[in-house]
Amino acid sequence: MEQFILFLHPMFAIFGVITTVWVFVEILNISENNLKRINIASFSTTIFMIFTWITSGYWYIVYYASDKALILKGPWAFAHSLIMESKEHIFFIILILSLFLPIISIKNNLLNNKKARSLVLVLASLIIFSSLMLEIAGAIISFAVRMSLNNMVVVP
Amino acid sequence: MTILTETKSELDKNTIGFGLASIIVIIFNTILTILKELYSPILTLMKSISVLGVKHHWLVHGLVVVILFFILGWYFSKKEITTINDTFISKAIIWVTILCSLGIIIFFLIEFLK
Repeated sequence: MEQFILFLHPMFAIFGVITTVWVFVEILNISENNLKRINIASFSTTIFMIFTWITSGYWYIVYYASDKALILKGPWAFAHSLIMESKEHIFFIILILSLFLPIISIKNNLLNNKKARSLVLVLASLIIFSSLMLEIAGAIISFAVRMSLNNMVVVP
Repeated sequence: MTILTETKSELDKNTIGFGLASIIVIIFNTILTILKELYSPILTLMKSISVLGVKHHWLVHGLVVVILFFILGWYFSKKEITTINDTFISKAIIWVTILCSLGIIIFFLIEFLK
């Protein structure tokens, strides 16, 4: 169960990144035909990021304590003290940007409003870049747990 | 073929309201992150608050940030804000996101190196 929960949150985050890329591409090719798709894609980004928040929060609160203890005793202690601490708080910035994204697409006529389109592109770029950075941070944390396990001395 | 006609349309007032809220809440998130690490009574208070039977500072932190975003967004959307132009929101969100993310990383780097 722990592994499944651990797997869920980066999966939802990647789905959020994919729908944000979808928003970005639709904005670059905007016409009357894809306005509805932009709203669906931007709203999907919000939903996936909320799912990421819930699943990562559940894993962090319920299961992370044992991994944290392992990491802090291992050779990559910075993976908790620096990477995880930064990751868990930078995530809230992505969450806020994801909550703001559909408000722009729904409340503005994107077809005729260049500034609204620019704002959507800015937000999408920030969400995509920051999310990918946090995915890399997650990989470093997972690797730090493995490093700690490899360094454990097994007493027969 | 659709021809795009650019008008001088401004951003919708909800967009400006929630845009301002985003900027303020992202800064608030960074300040709260640093404050709760440096001033233990805040961390203790956040740990003591129960959300759905769970007491954890990260849970409280996230809920405070999201609730504040909606309250400020709703408040600013009701106001007639004329002093904020469209490009300010875009530029401010870019800079605030970059600087606040870097601020959090640098803060934890300093804490780690102590």
